[in-house]
Amino acid sequence: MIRRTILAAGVLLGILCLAIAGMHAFSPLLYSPAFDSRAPDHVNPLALKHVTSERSARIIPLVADIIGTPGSLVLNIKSGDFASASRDLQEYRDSLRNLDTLVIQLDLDEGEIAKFRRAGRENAQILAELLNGTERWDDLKTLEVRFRESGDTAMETSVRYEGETLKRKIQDLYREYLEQDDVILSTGEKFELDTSGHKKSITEFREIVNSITAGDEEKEGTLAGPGDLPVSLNVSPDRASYGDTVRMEGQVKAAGSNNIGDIALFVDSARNVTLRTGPDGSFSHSYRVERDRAGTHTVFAVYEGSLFSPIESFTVEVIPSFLQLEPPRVQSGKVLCQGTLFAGSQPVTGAPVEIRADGKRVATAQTKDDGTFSAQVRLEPGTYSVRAQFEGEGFPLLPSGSESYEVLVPVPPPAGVDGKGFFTDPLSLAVVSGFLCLSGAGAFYYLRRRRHGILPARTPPPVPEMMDAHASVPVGEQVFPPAPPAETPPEPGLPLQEGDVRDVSWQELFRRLRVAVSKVASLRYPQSLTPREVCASCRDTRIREFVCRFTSGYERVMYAGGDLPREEKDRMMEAYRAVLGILGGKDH
Amino acid sequence: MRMKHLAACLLVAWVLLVIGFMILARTLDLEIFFVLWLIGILVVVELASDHFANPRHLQVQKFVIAAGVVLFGAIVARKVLEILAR
Repeated sequence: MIRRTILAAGVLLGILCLAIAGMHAFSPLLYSPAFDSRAPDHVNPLALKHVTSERSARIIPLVADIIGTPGSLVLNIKSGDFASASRDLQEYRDSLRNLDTLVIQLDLDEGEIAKFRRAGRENAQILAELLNGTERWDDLKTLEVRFRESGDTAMETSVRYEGETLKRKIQDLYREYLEQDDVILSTGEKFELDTSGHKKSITEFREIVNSITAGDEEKEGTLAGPGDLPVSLNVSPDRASYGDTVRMEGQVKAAGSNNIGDIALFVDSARNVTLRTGPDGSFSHSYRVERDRAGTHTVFAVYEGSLFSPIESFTVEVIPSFLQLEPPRVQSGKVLCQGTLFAGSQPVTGAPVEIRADGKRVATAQTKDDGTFSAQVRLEPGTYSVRAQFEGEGFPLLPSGSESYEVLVPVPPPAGVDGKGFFTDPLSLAVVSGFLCLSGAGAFYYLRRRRHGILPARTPPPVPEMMDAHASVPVGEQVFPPAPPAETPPEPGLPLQEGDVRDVSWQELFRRLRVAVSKVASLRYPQSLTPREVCASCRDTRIREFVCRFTSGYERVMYAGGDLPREEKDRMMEAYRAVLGILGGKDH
Repeated sequence: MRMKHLAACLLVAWVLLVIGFMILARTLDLEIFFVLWLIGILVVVELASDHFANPRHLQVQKFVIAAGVVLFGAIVARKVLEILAR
């Protein structure tokens, strides 16, 4: 009774547990520190500490790498070991990429780390340009000497102009590198990291700039002044910002020709446009500032590939950008985000705008010619704080962000209510059906594999006609006792001999008993069981006493080499009949 | 102690161990719990089953395992859909 009560209580408890678990089947993550660390109405210091320490342990090594790597990188550039510098740069980029991945995994896209990542990306770009620029600078010095010795003035001038452009560009890079200094150092100090690598990189960078400038000062006198050259060039205004137009105009004053020909305008040593001069040799071009880095840009013109203008320059200034996001709209489970990006009164075109939900980037939209952008974001049901962010990378613009909006994404109606949903999505249906079929096949195989050993259902063997069935049952069909005297159960005092038919009768009785017992105990291979195993297999059953009595006598008959008294044999027969009777024999 | 009692005790111990580690890790996830329970019951049933005997309590267990395998397939399908939706 107690046992049944405990069993019933256990079953009820199990059902209760399954019911509670089933209520959370669609959101199985019941608890994690990230859930509990911070909520609108409370902060769990223990969970917050756990989350913070876990994040710090993973982020700090990467931040240390990003701060320390530029030291050796800039040193290698300065010493002219460009192969090692390239490896350092690749390592630096890998660290930045790993940090980006980690930030996405840990859902950390705001605050100090976001600024650090932005500064790191800027520095990677600066260091890559420094590496290329310094390598090119070395080449230019070699080329200049070679052209001077060969007397090729045009090429020598071209190389010198490119060198001048490069010099100004590297100076600008140094200024930009210094601008990232605060963020890098403050992050390093916050995490208590060694910032000597970054400080060393600044020192080495300054020495590179100084060496380039010093080398160029020696050649300052050799650069031709504006009055000496047959091509004049005027650039205005000398300061411009995003969307402004820089006017580049001039005139070819070569004597002895009609001055009509092709003139190429180079901006930062890269050919920007090729123009046809007018009859008086004049030319003009409007250059629109868009994706130009902030800083000084050099311009010069080359007439017919041989006549050079003086080097002019203009400066691109960084101005603020204005990002506006309209209130997001929820349409069929997706959030539609639209807005505009302007720099002053100029629309910013082709700029990437990130859409963030709860600080995590969920989409990136590209602005069109009129500065508008649009993105549809699929979000899980819930409430989100949605905002847009423009990082300003590649543009002479400051980063900007829109205001935040609280967006509620409702739970979609159940499938079949509006004809849309899970069962109408062929991909979802295919995936679920496929996996259910696979798992069903696996379960079926598991069940089938186990079925091989199960015995087929068989009716219990019939109780043999006993002592009173001597002559009525034909020999061979009747098991015990056989009709002739020689086939009767062993009589007291008669020795059992090998091959004696009376032994066969006891054996047949045992075989039948064994089959009947094996059905009850679900034994797979009953033919292999010994009498004691048969006895042992029916423990805790009602037939145990009778089976064991029979097998005990059977052992004595078969293995002890003696005979049993008549009373003992009768008890064996009674036990046999009792077993078959309990198991549903025909005489019960 | 009979085999089926030993098997039940082992399974309960395994489940308690899983719950204990989940609590220590401060993460309670029903899916992980279910998968670990399924692994545990698979191992216990395989160890408890006899080559020559197929007791009734083990026959019931194998149907529980088969149902668990189907449910496991549903969990995997759910995870795949989550990944595809990203």
